Amino acid sequence: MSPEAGISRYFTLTDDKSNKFWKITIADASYTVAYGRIGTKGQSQQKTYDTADQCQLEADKIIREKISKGYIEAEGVAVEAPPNVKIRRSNKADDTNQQSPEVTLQAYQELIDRKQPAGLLAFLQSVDRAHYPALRKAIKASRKYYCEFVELEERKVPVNFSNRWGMRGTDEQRCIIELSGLALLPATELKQFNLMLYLNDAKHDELVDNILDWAKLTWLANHLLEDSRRNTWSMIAYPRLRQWEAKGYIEYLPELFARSIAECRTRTNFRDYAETAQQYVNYLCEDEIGYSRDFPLLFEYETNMHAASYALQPAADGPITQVSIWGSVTNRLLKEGKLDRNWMLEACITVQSKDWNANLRSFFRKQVDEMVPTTDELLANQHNFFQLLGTQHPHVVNWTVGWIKELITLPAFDKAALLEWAPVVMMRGDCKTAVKSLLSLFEKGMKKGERANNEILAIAADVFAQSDLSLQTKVAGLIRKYGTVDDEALNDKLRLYSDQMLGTIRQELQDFIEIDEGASASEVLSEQVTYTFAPAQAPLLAELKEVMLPQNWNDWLFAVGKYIGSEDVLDMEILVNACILPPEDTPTDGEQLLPYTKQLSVVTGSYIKAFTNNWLLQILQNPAQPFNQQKTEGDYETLRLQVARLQHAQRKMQAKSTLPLLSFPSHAPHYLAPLMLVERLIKYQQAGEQIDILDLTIALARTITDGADEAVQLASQLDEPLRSLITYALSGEGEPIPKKEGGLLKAIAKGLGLSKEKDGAYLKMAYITAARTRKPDAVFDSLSKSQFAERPNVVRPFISAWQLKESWNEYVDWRTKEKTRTPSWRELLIELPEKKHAGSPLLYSNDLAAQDKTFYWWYGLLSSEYDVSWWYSIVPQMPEGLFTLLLKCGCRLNDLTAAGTSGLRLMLDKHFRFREMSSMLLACGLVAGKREDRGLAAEVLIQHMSTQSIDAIEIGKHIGALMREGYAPVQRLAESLQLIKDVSPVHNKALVILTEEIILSFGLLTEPPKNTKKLLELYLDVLVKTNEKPAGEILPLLERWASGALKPIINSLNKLVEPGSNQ
Amino acid sequence: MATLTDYGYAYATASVIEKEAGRSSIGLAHTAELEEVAAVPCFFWGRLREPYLAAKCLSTIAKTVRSRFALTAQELAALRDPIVTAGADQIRFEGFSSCNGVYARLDVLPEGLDGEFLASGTTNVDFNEPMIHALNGITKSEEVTLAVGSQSVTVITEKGKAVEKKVSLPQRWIKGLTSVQHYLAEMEEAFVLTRIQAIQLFQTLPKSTVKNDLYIVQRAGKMAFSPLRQDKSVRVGGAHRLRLMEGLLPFIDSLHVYQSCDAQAAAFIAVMGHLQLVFAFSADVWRGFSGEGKALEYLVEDLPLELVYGVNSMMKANEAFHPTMLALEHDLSFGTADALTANLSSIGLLGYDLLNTQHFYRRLPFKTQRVLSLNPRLKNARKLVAESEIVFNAQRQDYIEARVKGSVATYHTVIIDKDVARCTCDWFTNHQGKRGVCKHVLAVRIAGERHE
Repeated sequence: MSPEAGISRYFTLTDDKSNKFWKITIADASYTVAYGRIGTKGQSQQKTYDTADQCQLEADKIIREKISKGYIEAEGVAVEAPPNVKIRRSNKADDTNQQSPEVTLQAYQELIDRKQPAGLLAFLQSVDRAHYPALRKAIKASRKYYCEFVELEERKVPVNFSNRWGMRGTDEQRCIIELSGLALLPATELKQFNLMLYLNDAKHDELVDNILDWAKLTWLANHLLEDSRRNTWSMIAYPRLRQWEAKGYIEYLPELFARSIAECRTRTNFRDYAETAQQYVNYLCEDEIGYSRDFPLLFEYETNMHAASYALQPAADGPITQVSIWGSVTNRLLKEGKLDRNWMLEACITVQSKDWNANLRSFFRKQVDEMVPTTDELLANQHNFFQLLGTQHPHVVNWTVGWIKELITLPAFDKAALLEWAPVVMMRGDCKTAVKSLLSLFEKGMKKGERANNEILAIAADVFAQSDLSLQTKVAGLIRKYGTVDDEALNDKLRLYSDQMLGTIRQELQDFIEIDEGASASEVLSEQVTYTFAPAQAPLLAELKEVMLPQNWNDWLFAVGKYIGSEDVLDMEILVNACILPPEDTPTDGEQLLPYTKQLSVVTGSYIKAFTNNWLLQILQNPAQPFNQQKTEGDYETLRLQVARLQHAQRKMQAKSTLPLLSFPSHAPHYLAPLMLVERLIKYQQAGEQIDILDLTIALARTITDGADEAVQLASQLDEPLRSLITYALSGEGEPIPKKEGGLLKAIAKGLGLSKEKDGAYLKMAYITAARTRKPDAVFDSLSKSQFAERPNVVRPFISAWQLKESWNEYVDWRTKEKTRTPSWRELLIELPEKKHAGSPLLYSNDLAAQDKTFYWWYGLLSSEYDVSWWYSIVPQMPEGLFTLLLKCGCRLNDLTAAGTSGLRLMLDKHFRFREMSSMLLACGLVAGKREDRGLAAEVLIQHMSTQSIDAIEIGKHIGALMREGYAPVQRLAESLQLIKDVSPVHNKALVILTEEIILSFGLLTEPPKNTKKLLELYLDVLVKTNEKPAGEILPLLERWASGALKPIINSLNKLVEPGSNQ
Repeated sequence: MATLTDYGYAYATASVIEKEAGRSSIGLAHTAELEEVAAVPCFFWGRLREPYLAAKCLSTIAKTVRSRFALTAQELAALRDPIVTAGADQIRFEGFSSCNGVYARLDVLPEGLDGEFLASGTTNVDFNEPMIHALNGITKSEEVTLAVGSQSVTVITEKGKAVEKKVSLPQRWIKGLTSVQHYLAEMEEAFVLTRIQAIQLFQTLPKSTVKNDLYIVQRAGKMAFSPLRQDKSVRVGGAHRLRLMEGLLPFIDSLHVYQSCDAQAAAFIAVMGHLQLVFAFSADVWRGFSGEGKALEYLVEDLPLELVYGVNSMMKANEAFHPTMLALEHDLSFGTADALTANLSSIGLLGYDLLNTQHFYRRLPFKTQRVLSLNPRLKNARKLVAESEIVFNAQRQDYIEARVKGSVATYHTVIIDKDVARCTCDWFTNHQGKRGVCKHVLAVRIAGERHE
């Protein structure tokens, strides 16, 4: 190190966010650092130390820091004008000479400052090759500075928001920078450049040509291709590409040329200008290389050619039509004989097998249709058509069968080949049109008796793989008419499908199926069963898993991690109580917990998780300060109860309590054993710990009945104030509020260490909540004079009224200027009491009030499944109030929101008891828009039907009410019920009951809802499977609809009653 | 080790299907990064006994390698090709979807072939558009010959010429090929479906993209997709990917459904005569097999490279690999034999055959150096060890407690109690061990081995 000269090291940091330099010059015992954005002079600072060695040490240290932050050292000399406070950039640095790249950089900056792109070529020609590395860096830095969309510092006054954003460079400046990048940078560094703007702009054509001529870029074609793959809009206009090709600037790259010609980008934006577009059509039709060399590429590479179109409006206020540019071009090329018809036809047909954009395939199909192929032309392509029967795309298959229909009567048609290809189609549920057409073609063929009928019928029989009654009926009809009974191949096939046959088809075909009296699925399903509804059993202790607190520090530590990563509310309960009761080997420093603090600070969509995270952060960082959480308008009172619980937990921690919360579940997922509750209370009593009424009330709501007797006995050890409450809560005997209301309650309040009036009220609430927990459906007349009498769920169970309201949107038609209504839909509206109350231990009444406007904000929608499961966990034995809200938030439209989905998920609990609102939510789930929701609802039904713990009549009534009013399409319902069918004989039996109830509720309608046929087909099938007949009132009801599309199915239902009729 | 860029390659000729007089011949052009493999003119030449089905399977594989389920436009630009292994009287085609979430392999068993194996080995084969199109056109009644490589210079027909292909295989594609084998090796059969059951099952598959997990369940002989996990069910994430198999269902004899122990990945084998088409699906659309840390724990143990190379010279392509035999012959402990199996899979020397529950040998046609550079988590763990960022607080029989430096100036606690490893880092907190161990646990394991 030589003290006189000083050593400079130059570093840069360029990434998405920053583009800055950092330079250090060390001279003797001091160093100077300079830093700032690249291209600016930056700021500098000097530091002086006692000795040169110490200075060097410190300098090394900060250099390491910079490197660790991602700075990269520039090789060789500093490439920028040395940033210096005293020297302005326009002044030449002292040591500048002709060889320094700084002259070049200076010239480049001047070029940019002059804003004259025309000077770029001369500049490039003048640059010394040795300066390229420095110049390349400057180009990149300039692009960053001038060409990026940023919030401009210059315009300090925010006239309006959008004005403050823009690019620093003018159009000319950006042109200079972009094109100099093209000329000098390697392709890999051009990703952020926006070249197309200038390459496609006619006013820069000459400059661009000159630069390409000068730069001789070998990678240009590949680069443009990759660029267009990344950004579909980034495409060079085809005529321009051809010019470059002619001049030798670019190599011929088929895919690039295909994409470019397909894009139809002219030099002006013609999409609104029919005339320009028509000129372009002319150009394409006159350009021989274009149509003979590049047009065929459109069948090799997937492009957007179908999207190129222009709007044509022949009369001023006449209709507007979209004209496809490529449609016009092919049409003309064919007419003018520039395209070979045979070639074109084959290409358009074979291209259908590709997995390309559906609209693109459809474009090629349209070309075939418009060519109006002759029969000879079609015959020449018949094998190409057959191949398409194997494609995945239903449209293609349907279209293909359409053409085959035209051909089949011709003598040269290859019928054998058709039979070889047809089987792939017969099993497909997604090309019904094709299947139907093929079946009628088969029928025609068999009528003429051209081939062995059984061979054809064996192919047709594959239709039985689809559960579609009308298709199956058709095939069964064909078999009975044309089939021979003793054909082995046909027999085998039918036997294979015998379990799949719907309705009465199996009986109808029994002559053709050798009955194999094995344990076939239909035998199992025809077992005689009954369906008797009985509500789900209350949980038993023996079947629940006990909850354990972490026993040592390791478990405690990872309980934090488990809670963070967990969607299970129980993990939160465990952690909160573990905080009150830390293990003995807890280290004194919280250092091991540090990694978790970051994860606890992550934003979450759940209230409960956010409250708990903040609470944990606070007790980790500042345990002395009382925890609080600001209330915002529209918050659910129930969810706020968690804040109160956490505050209570913190007070317990501060008081060094050795007991968990009373409401801490003893058994998963959220239950409390009665004995455990009483034992805890006794321990609280012995330790002299104060009881929090809210905590106690939640504990009571979580306490199950199993084991209550033993617990009641033990409760005698409790002091009187608590003894009454607990005895009442556990036994459920007596009236909710003790007769000696005033006096005793005061005593109780005092005994519990409560003094305020509010706490006295809280105690009453605890009684009321305990009463509703034990007897969810009871009416407590004795409460009708209580101060809480008018609150929901106090005197009697709360069942809200609901209605389906027709809604629509209105808009002004821009042509007719008239107000127009969109098609209407139905909204499910739930009515709640007007009056709101603050959150309280009245767990079953909280939040059952109409919300103000803020209700429909995101946070009011109960979108977090975690919050919903927590809410459920504090009211597990009487969750109807929660379900009322979930129905309100989740099912207003037939497309369920997250709240609706969460509600369905809760019903999977095998102890779940369905009541009015939860049944309604399930009904909505079965007809929901999202397939996942319907699947989930079907699972709920499957599960509760197998234990017969759901009332099929009630659910049927709810579904019927929704369907009758047009809340959702019947098609969806039929699909959901299809999932339940054939799970077991019990399920089929329940489905009979349920569908009958739905049909009965349709009874009042003069017209059946659309697709009722699907529902009736399912009804027929379950009737046949369970060996039942339609209930007496069903058939007369259906009779009124028997004239329309429902006729065949209603006939089939009639036949079940009178087997002889209609045959 | 110098970082290797993506492997880019081009074929000297294009694969073609020539059709004459009811007879098609499939000529596959091949190439490989390993010169000795690339130099082999022809691996197999012979007749396919079930040409129609084989052609269906091959076009399904072609569809798989061309599909992508969680990629940006940028990533899917390049076309990929399957690799083929010929040897031990069998031919296997293997490939991955571009997103690395779907693995497909066609095993053509000895009974399905009638021809000559001229060489054994694994190589990349060209699957171009015209060829795939011709594959779709093969009918039941024609005779088809297959050539992997060519004995003479192939004449490229007019149709085959249009596509000039430059292929680049990203590193993760290659890694996926190795890590999927670990999943396959620990899978268990859950269901065997008949053709009709399979068709019915797929009828319940949603048409659109499936965001939530679905579970395959059995109900009274009927198979269905359910949104709920049940006692016996197979989890499938991103179930719309299963549609790749749909076209084959009408032809299958049976469909075997497998699930990995951790219920993260699922596999299906469609059995069609002497053809087996294996599909493996990653846990989710956005999770490629390449990113899973499945066998990391086995790789902690460093094996002598001679052993690895020794296996290479002993075995022939497609031969069954028996670790116990190897252990006996080379006097290795059985634990080492398991680690060896994992190691060999990880460097692309073994594949797994689910139906026969055994590994088979095949050397991926890539440089070993490339394959070795593929495990970033292991690399990061080794770095932690090398930089001595681990402090052991306790180390007893079956119990290790250590502190490992995290990314941001914090120290993570790692506890390994018997076989259960836990860490306070984000990776463990979020996945709770479901996606392989984190680098901290790995580092402790590596350092622990040395510490002892």
